[in-house]
Amino acid sequence: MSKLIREALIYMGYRKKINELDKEIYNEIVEILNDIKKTANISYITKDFDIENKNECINLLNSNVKFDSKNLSKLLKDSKKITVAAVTLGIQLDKKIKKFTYTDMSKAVIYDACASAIIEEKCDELENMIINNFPEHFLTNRFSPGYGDLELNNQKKIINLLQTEKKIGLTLTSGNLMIPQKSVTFIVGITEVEKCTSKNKCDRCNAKCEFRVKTRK
Amino acid sequence: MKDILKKIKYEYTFFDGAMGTFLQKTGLKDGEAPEELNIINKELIEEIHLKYLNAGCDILTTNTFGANRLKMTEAKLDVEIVITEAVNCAKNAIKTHNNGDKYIALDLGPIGQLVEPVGNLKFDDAYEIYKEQILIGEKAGCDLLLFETQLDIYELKAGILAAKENTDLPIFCTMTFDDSGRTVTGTDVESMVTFLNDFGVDVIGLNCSFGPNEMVPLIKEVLKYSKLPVMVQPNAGLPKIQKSITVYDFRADEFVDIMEEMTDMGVRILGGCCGTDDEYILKLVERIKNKKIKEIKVNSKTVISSNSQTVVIGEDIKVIGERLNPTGKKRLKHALKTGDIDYVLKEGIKQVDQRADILDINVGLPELNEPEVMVKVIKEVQSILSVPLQIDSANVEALEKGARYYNGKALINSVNGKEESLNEILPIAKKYGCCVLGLTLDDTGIPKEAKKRYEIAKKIVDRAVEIGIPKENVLIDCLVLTASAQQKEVNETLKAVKLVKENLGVKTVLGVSNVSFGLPNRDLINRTFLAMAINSGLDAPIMNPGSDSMMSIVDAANVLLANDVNSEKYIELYSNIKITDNVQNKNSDIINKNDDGNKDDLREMILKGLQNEVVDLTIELLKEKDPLEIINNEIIPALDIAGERYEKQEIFLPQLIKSAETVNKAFDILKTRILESSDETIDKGTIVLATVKNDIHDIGKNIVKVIVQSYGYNVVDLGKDVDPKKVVEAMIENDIKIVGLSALMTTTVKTMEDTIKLIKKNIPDATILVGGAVLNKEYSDMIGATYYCRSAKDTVEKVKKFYI
Repeated sequence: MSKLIREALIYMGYRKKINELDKEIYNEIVEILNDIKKTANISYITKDFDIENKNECINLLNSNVKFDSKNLSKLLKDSKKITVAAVTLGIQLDKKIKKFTYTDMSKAVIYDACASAIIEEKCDELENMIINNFPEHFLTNRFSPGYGDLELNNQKKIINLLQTEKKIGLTLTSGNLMIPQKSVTFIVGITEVEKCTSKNKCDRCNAKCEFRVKTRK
Repeated sequence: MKDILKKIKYEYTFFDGAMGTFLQKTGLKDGEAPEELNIINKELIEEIHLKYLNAGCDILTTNTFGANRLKMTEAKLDVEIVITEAVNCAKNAIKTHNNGDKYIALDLGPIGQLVEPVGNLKFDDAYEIYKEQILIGEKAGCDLLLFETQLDIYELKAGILAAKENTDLPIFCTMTFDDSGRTVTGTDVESMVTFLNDFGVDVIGLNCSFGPNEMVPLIKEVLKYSKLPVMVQPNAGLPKIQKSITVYDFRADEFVDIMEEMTDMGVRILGGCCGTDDEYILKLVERIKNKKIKEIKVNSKTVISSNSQTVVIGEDIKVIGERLNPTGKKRLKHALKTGDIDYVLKEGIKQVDQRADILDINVGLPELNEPEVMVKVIKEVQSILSVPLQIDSANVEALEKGARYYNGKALINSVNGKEESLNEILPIAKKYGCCVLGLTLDDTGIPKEAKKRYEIAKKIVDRAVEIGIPKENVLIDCLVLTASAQQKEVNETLKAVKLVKENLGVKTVLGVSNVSFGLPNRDLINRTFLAMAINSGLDAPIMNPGSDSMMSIVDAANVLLANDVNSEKYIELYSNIKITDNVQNKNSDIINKNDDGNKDDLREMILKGLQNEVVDLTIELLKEKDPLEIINNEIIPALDIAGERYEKQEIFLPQLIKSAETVNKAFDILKTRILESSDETIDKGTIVLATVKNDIHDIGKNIVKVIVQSYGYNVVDLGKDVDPKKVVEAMIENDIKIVGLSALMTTTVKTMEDTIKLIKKNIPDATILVGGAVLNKEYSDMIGATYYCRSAKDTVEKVKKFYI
């Protein structure tokens, strides 16, 4: 739980130690994390693909999908297989957060941050499940449309490929944003080469973002 | 002549099984549009149809699941060609088969984008998308429409309207549910059936979902509530991944066993979904075809719904919240006039928290475009609340538009005994499958005697039934007159309720609070009348759920009339409440005291974020001070302290927001007070806020809004996904030169730039503030904003500067 709380606090812009946190807010966060876990309709779907990686393009075999991306191509340089995944916390949570923006904005903000923390945790769990499917293999970092040079409109391909609308109720808007809002899609490479992946997820990303956590050296 | 609707009345009818399962087996790749095969591999599609015909199915489903404008554009295909060829494939197969009456169902899957307010697809666009498919399908020669695997009942409503308004083809609808017993957008079986029952479709049911076993309890529920023939198309078991291919774990015999169980329950129309093939259908037809049809008992309760909640009227007393009606409410009037939707929503949420079962929505003000505002309020309320609504207007167009864009089965308020009203309103209730409330008045006014009011009620019910509205969808309001002016007629109302209940057998509604106008201690009169009316047969009072004493009458009546079985609800509500006298002041012990047992002052309350307590204290303070004094001497200094603590990181975001919201609660009281005494408002200046086009994340903008409001500034909140043109229009219309734009995604920074350009072109001297997770000073300069605001507090500083 404490890792989740830490993560939620980062999203809320809290930079100090957890034990300095106002007790009331701490309890509220714990309560909200529990509520989301209990009431959200958390669902996911994954699918494995063999890939061909050439000319800075990832070609998913037995499908009509290609991802043009230098960054993704580099990430998958040692992978012959990938898993494509989608996770969502469901539409009811969106409705709940929206309702709180009218009655209790502070609660809405905490819900929003806690939901983001939970979906990250769910993605980590999913990674563990994926790795179990491939004994003696390793996973690359997760990669999503919108990272680096992989354009956001690639989201359409993933949504279509996994039939997320029908299977987990995940759809896109005309601007390629996901509904429900608390949703994540990602691609992860399966490799035989163990890579030194930093425990700090922020080291894997090059976005200039205010939530960035620095690794202590 | 072949007539599918006649057929389903008398015998079991069989659809085909899956199309995709076959296509995957024959090499369709992931991500490819199966609809393309209608053009490039017709033989394959015809062959699959033929297999199903040989297996004995009656209805072929065209290979057009995703053949809508959005998906086909993506796949670079033409909707008209795809659908026409799909129908041709089915026709050719039927020709080849040449044995008996066979039908072609135009397959209509979900669009792929969600409709507003959940998504950003307009309801009218969803309508047009379906309309296009339906018209092409009809022209190509399909016999019926099959809306299937539908996930969102609101999108389905748009589709059904497109069907009903443009063709006479029979309409079959199935939705898919997940293991929580709801669709992914939150609709449960009862809400789905309630809505579809009277909406003019021919067959309803379930398809896909998870496994057939898990579908049995859901189909039982469909049958329990349905007035229509029921169909089912389950998957061939639960999906399992084997070597990255999806397989289903039911063999054909097991599948048919479950289907037989469902026919015994009353299902009439059968077919298969994912994983089923011609073997499943063959065995299904063999086993079921000659079985005797099981008749189902038709449900005739009076029930209304939203997309996810149903309310049955007539089983226990249901409360219709009356607060969203501007008559006599200055603050709500002001909110409606100024487009302050937040206040409206807060009033709605409050009533639901106070246990209103249904909310009345009335936006009748002469200066408003009533139909437009009605639709807006309904959509906004439904985006956060699940209670069904009563659409209340004297404006026919507002009622029609309200019923059209409402998500679910609404209650229309109202029709009356006048010819004009009967002719205009009843067809709306019929078309949209709503319930309708009839008022017992006609051209001669409200009759004094109960008997005459009963006669008008009878006329309304008869006329409704005549045009095809089921009697249970009509409710009657015998009209409450004020005891101060028409004392003798109060009892006539009660007599009329009794007559209507006993002789017409329809449910009754009364606007209870009217009775006490002009008398002191109104609540006493109201609650006494309420108890008397319930005893006369009132089913649903329209009242203020904020009145504890009236709500307690309802709770007690539900016990005494044996509606509240074993008094469970009553005990839950009242076992822990100490009765001191008649009125309970729930928080009296804890109010306004800090740790030392002393009263907090307003400043302290704001810093602590005590939102519940601040209201009482503000009312208290108003006895001694005027509103502006309170704002300048108490509120602003407190906010400054909170802001300072935030800057120093002594408190963080949720705490800062709590303080701001506490201030806004106090402001609400102050604003109401000012409105009551004059027509002025607290006005330090106004800012337009918007989350830019294509961006749907508006929590950041909402935080800014709360904080900016707490400093006394007004906000024109345009919401999220806002078109640049709308931003400019709002600024010009309200004569505002300062705007705050929010964007969360790198991709939407581009639309932010477009918005800024358009603002500058139209309003060269505008001050443009920008903020959002991906922005920084550098970006902000690059896209031409006036200021970058790194936080909500920072935004306030910029706004202050502007209005100095």
